[in-house]
Amino acid sequence: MVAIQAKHLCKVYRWYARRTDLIKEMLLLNKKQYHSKRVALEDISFEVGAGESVGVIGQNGAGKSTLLKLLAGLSVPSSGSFEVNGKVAALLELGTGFHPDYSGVENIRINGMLLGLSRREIEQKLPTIVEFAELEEAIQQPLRTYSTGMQARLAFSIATALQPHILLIDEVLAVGDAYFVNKCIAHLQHFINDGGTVIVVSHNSFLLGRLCQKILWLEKGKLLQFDSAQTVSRAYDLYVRRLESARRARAGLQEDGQRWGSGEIRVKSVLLLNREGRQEYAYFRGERMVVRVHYETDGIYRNPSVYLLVSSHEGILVTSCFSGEEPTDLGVFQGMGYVDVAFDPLLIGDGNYWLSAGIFPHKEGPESIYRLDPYDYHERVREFTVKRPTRPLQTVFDHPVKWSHGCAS
Amino acid sequence: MIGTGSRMNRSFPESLRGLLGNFELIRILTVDDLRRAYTGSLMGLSWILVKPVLIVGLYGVLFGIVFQARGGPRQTATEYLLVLLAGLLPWLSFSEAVSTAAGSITANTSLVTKIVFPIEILPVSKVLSTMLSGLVSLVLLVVFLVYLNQVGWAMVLLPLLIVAQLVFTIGLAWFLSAMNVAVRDTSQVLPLVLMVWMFLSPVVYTTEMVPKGLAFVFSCNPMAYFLDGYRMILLNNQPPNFLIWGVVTAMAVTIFLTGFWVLCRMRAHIADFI
Repeated sequence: MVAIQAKHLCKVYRWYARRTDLIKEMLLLNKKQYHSKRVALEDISFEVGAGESVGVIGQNGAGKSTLLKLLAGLSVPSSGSFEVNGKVAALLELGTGFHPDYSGVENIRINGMLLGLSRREIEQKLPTIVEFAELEEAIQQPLRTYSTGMQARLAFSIATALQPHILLIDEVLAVGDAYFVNKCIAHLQHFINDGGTVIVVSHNSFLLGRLCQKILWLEKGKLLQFDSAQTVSRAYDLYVRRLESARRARAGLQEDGQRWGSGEIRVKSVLLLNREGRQEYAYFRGERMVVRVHYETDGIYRNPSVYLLVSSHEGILVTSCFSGEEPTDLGVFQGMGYVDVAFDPLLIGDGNYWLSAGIFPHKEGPESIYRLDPYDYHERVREFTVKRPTRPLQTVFDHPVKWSHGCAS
Repeated sequence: MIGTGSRMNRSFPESLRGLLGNFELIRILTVDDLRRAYTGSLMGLSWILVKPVLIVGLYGVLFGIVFQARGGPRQTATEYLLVLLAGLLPWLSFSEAVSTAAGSITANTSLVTKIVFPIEILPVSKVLSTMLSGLVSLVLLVVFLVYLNQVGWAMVLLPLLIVAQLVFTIGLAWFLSAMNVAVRDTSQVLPLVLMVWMFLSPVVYTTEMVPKGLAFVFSCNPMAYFLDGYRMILLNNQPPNFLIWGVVTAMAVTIFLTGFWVLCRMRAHIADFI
């Protein structure tokens, strides 16, 4: 059975230069148009079967929320049509219509009515709602004493108590704590198993991959891909990575980091190159990343030391390398040239990082670089992103391990 | 639910019927409105009385004592006060209801854009809650009249007139709250319009005091008929004549339907535009 069928859905927002133009258009019965158009959704066709869970992914302004609003009946499509079979509940925002001075119970009553429950239904479901939200103790307290997470729990509980056939959710699970999000996901999975249909909007491809069978990818109002969750989330991650990378490549050398040194050898540029030797500033963990440090000099210098430091945006020093500490001979630096430092495989975890680079004079013996005056040291010269292909955990570092299995008996 | 959206594509009569179906929600929201207005404040419900008492006191002193305004040469100050009250109290509940209800949709943006919600009931519950507060002072006036032994059987018509005023006000509130989405100045301009309207209506004076040459202005003013009706019932123990009933009913029904029609026409676009 088909739960949702959309045919050539378009949504064009009307842009009125003056607000009075809207009134003219609404009330005058002539057909003159007083607006310019902004396309939010363009020719979207798809079909969702009953019992399917579909994620909607895309950048900001891709039209995700607009699509949900159309399906919820909050807004009318400009052209095209859709059919929805079954009772729809939409969770577009947590706590719409909540009043901070009322207690949890009173808010459940009013909110339930706003969402279309009858008084009897609310009284019947009240215990379930309170129980699911795990607010038994606080339920008589005014809502303003609740934390954001508690309010999110209450709102989600009320919405699920509507017992719809189709549930539309817009990025609302981002508020709760991990425990509650997991509980919601488990609840949604139950709901799906019982034949319910779910449509979830999110930026988080990992969450969608966990929850949904299929993902619909919107980009600038157009449907780019509608396929299995795994296929689309992978493609989307790659796409986001490319965008990030292109932005970083355009950015060139950063200006905000400090730079100092005597200047005999100067860092000319620092590039990050991927496996194919092309510039890339966003990597999956485990890939090959090469840092290419271009230098220029007017003299001739024998085996100077190159130093790289990777620090996270939070200020944590993640990893560093110094050629002077290793039995490496970089040879003679003269005119212009470059030094390649390969991180292969890249082991650092999810996050955004700064790269600092420096060139130091050659010194014999175990000398700390802090006692050396650099020829050139360029702090935070490049920015790059590392993404884990699987679990989006914010670990600093994924240690390589070896697995084995033994029998204890 | 099959179709393109639940609340947008209903026909006008369907929407009108839907309004009755939402009776329970209207009740809840009205009670909620009253509670929000009065809970948490130090004086609580007594605020319902403070404002009318203050305004009536001011107008009473100003017009009754300073200006020595009288309906006729033999009217006493108390009599004038009653004339003033019978006009001022219905007017206050009207103007208060209109001006608060005009912002009722724009003040609830999230209800409009985030949940499937019959927005037409927002102005209704706002009008109801303000008019209920207004009713309290009107009831006190009736009690005062009972004390003065001036109440007659015409009083049974009072509820009819109040209902007509309610219907009229709701229609106006629909129209203005829809307007306010498109032109936010509506709620700014409205108090000024209401002030001018008040002095063009027989509130601090009676229709009989109006010079003959200006009478046509008052015959075009629906509120003049309402206020005349109130005075006839409350002060003269007289059922309002057919002209008053005719105009009052016609205005109430026309404005109610027009206001609702405007809101229905704009409804599909309000969520996009708010």
